[in-house]
Amino acid sequence: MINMAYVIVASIISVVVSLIYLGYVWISFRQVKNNRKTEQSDISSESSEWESESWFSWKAFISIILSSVILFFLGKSAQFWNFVPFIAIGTAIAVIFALAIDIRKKA
Amino acid sequence: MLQTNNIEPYIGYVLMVGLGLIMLFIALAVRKSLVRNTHDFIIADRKIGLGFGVGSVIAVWTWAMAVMMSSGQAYTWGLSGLFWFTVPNGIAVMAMVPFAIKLRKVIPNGYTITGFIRSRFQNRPALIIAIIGMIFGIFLEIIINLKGAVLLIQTIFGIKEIVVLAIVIFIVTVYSYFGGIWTSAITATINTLFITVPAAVVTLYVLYKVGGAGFIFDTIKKQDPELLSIFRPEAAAGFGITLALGLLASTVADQTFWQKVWAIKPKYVKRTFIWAGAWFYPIPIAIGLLGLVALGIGLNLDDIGGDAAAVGPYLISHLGLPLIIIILYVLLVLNACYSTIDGAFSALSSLVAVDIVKPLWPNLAEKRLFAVTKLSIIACAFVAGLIVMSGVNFVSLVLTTYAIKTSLLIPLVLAIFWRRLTSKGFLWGIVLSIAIGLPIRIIYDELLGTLVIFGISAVVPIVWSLISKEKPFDFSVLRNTEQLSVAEADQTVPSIVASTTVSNKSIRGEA
Repeated sequence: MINMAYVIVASIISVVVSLIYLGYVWISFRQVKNNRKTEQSDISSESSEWESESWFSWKAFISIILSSVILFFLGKSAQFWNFVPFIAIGTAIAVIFALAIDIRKKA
Repeated sequence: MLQTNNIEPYIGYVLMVGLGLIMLFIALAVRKSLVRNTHDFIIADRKIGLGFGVGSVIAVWTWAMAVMMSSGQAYTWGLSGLFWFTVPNGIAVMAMVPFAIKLRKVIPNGYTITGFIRSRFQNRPALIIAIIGMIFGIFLEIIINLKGAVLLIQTIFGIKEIVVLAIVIFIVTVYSYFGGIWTSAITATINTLFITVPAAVVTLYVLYKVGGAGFIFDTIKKQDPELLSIFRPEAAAGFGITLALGLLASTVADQTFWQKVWAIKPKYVKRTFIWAGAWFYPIPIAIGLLGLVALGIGLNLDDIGGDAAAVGPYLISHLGLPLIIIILYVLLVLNACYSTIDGAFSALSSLVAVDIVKPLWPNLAEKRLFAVTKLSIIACAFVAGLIVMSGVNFVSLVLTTYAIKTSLLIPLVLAIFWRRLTSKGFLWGIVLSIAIGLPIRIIYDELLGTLVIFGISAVVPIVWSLISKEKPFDFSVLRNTEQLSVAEADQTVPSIVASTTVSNKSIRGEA
């Protein structure tokens, strides 16, 4: 029964995340479309701060370590197996955040 | 525990066609709103944001075969297999960052990596070999994903190979034709949702169905505790190191990714590839658990036809799972397949427009250029379909493509970062590494051959360039690279306009 509980929780989260995700895709699409209509070419007005960005990223480094640690712990206890699939939903949530950043910046 | 597969084939047809129709509907909406000319079609007016950037890079990098191979490697090598499959995959995407930032700075109006090679070296043989490498790579992406779809649909629904191939390639070609990179970015973002969310639900349901994670964990431990370790050297030697090196070449020497580098807003380029690489990891990790389940229940490789990649589809169709779980799994793999093929078509269209058609017919009107660009997608689909449907063993195509892409990697890295690299060093590094490394890879050993290709492609360009008396290349000249016109496709206007790229201003309206 406990195993089924994981499935039910994952299903509920999945439905909620999917609806939010599709909503954000729709809003982002509408925003791009509206920008095209008003034809505001923002290339010239874009900040050039990115040009001084370093290529190194701690986030990249952490993600590599973290994924290795997750795989390591999968071999240590079966308890982790029931939680690890949830991180796949985390990927969808990350894209929602990315879409939200776009929408906020343009608003 | 395993049961007979009684799933009706019509469900497979409905899923393949239904998903395609949804994508077509989205493509038509995108085309109507966002695509007006070749510039929009191949580079999205350089206005793709972080959300569509991250979503599309994740989907394009999630190949149908990769979804199944994550389970396959876990089944073959245990957790070490999953480790060596997963970790280099994310690194390969994030490894694009330094190259992407550098080239976006020095060539802000770029379209293709081969366009950079043309401007950097002004050497026709070097350009030709790079274009061949890119086109072969694109064909390979399409063919491998088609094969992935066939493996899935055949294993679960028993539909004939040729029928699956015809349906999939027709569907993706139609919706790719209508929108270019905007369609690719938006549909792929939606694909990412249908890859990630089902992965969690399907894996958890499978664990429930087989008696829980504890049962599988204990069974594997009894078989061989080493299967639960990520440190098995056999997995690294067996496929891990070769795969890791090959994956790096698959991103850095792939126009599918470079097209996105120039299509995404510059301030988001770094974040897009970091986020996409980091958030790619959960997908193979979650799906890979299916391979461990197959190990735990003692699935025999002979039962699934000897191909470890079929472990996932076989397990899903023989565990007596509810239909909705099977549908979710099929949608997961089909989404991965469609998004990668669509991304490959989009990359091909940019290559054809910028590196083949424009140089050959520089005065071609915008309307015609747009038409030819779109027709290249149909031609590519036709050829890829013919290759796969002909039933020929395309091992040689895979090997040649792999060798060209691997041999391109280090010369390309040097071309981007090292001013002293000469065109001859670049060219001979590639040619000699293929000529010597490929036979070694075929005759002796995959790992040795790969290392030889890397070694020669690194040493030859460096030595050649060091002894050359050519002046170091001035990257600043690349900032004046021309941009395609942004005129409407239905107007006949000169299709290349010199852009004011030094100040990086838009050329909109100047046509």
